[in-house]
Amino acid sequence: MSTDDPHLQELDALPESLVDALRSADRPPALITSRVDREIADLAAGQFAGRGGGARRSRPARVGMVAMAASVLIAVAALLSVFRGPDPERGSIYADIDGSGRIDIADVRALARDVGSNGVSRAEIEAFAARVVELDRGGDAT
Amino acid sequence: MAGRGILDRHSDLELVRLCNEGGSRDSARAFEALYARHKDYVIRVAFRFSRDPDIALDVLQDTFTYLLRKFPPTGDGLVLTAQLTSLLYPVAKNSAISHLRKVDRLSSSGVDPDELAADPPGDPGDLLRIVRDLPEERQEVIILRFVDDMSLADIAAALDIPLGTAKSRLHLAIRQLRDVPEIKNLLSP
Repeated sequence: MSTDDPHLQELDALPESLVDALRSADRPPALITSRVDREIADLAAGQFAGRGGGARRSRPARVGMVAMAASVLIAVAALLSVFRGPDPERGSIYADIDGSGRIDIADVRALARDVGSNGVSRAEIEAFAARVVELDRGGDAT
Repeated sequence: MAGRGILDRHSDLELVRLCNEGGSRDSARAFEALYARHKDYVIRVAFRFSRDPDIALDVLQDTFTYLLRKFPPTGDGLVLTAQLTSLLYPVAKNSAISHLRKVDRLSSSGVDPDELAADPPGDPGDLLRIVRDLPEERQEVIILRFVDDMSLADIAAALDIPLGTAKSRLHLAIRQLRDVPEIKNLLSP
């Protein structure tokens, strides 16, 4: 028995025979069968089904994990767009953007002013610039 | 109920945490471990108040269903601030009384469920009669303390009363018992 109060400790000394009688009178017959146990187990399985096998995290933690995963995806996408070469399907950017009659570094600058908002990546601008420099050195622009 | 295994050694607090946050299998096993640990207590309380095996089994199911619903996704999770028995006790008690009232309404027998709970059939003996002569709320604290082995804090939590009230109620109950001549005789060396 717990003795969490010094004053009651002294008084707690009820006759053992009285405590025994109380405990005996409080003993129920054996009622719980394995069927009852199974019903409770089924209820529990139903309640927790759908949580998945792993540990379930609290809502704020899960939101944080999703946000972190999204950040990683965005960072990876940004890195890919920076480091990959120009898209071969996007040949149209090699054009006379400023209408000067020739494709030169001014077209690169015109395109670079709106980088990001015009659907052209920095890598494509850099590739365009490299192509223009190559043209100026006498390479084949086509 | 097989396969709880290692969970049997976990504290109630750890099992409740698993039920709150674990995956489906761990949570179900943790709940089964809680059930295995406390089912006898719940059926005892249920039978204490109902004295009816069928009602006691219904109370057992009601009580553990109530506990189960505390956990996500149906509940927000359970925060244990006292022993689990102090949470289960009022649920089992109220469920038993509610079932008795239903039976009473159906049978129209006019039997007071409190009376049934206080004076179960069988031969309680003189010592039990002395306890049953106490006011009901004093009987209850005596049973919680000496039969259920609850601390004062858990008694307070189970009865939803302040700690001071639990302490004074138990103090008065014990003093009243010790004033009874039969008890006095048993206590004297």
